[in-house]
Amino acid sequence: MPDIKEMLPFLIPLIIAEIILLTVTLRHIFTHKNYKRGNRTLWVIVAIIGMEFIGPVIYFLLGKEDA
Amino acid sequence: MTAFIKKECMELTRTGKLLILGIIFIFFGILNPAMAKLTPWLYEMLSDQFADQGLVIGEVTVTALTSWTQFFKNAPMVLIVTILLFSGLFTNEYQKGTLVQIVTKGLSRNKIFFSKLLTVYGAWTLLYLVYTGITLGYTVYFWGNDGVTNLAFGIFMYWLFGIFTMSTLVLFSALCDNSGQVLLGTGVIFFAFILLGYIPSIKNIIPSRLMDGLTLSTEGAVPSDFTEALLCTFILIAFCDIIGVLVFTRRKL
Repeated sequence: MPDIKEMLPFLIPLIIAEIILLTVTLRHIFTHKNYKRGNRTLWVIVAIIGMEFIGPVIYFLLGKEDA
Repeated sequence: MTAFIKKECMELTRTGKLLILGIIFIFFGILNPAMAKLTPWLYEMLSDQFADQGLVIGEVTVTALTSWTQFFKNAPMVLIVTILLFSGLFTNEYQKGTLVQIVTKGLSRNKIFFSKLLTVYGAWTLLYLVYTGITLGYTVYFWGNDGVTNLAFGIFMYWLFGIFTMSTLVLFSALCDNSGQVLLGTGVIFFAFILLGYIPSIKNIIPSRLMDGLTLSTEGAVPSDFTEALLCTFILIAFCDIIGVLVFTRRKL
């Protein structure tokens, strides 16, 4: 494994992007009552487990109710 | 028309599509140089396995080119994600019937079509710039940008290929009724061109040739090698847009 310090320039923006996406997703899940499919617990679990980008994307594609 | 473009942009931000796309493009933009940085370590980790098979790996040197190789390798991924998220551009409105009111209020169908087209082009351009900018920034910072020739042209060609793909997407949006069909149509065209790229006699003139921007640095290709492909792509883009608008003005909303 390369020195962690060398990877920091990559890790910091990635972590920031991840946190922003997770926050937006969770906010969206908690401020909406109905979803296209599934329920709130399911989507919170999906968003948190898959928080390396894939979970929130799945939620916005499959779970978010159309306006 | 500007009002309709504004509405489209607002839809992009309010539905969170732009956010998702932005984050994905940023992610891949960072991933390119990160993968390049990790390459020596990956080889080291795999070297035991390779040694069993009789392969010996020497010193691996990472240069700016490694990062740009990753850039062109990941570019189809971001393009596919963009297609996925824009597949409902027209079809969602057909299904909800929201275009009917606008048309009856007097906005011409041409304007609707071209506003949507411009929005997709704009979004792709913006996101692609973000993707390129991040990779460029990291690459220059770590390795300088030596040994990469005609990079700007390679990047431009991939952008144009993206524009071509977006045009087919919009064409199929005008033709089809739901986003599944749009995805199918665009996907078939996308992969058909990649497959056609394996036929030597036509490989130089079809749009998928534009994805080979890296050969400008690695195999000594020169920009003039791509003239035919560029010309062909421009014609196809114009063809898609014209057929698209003709179909759209006649279809049932």
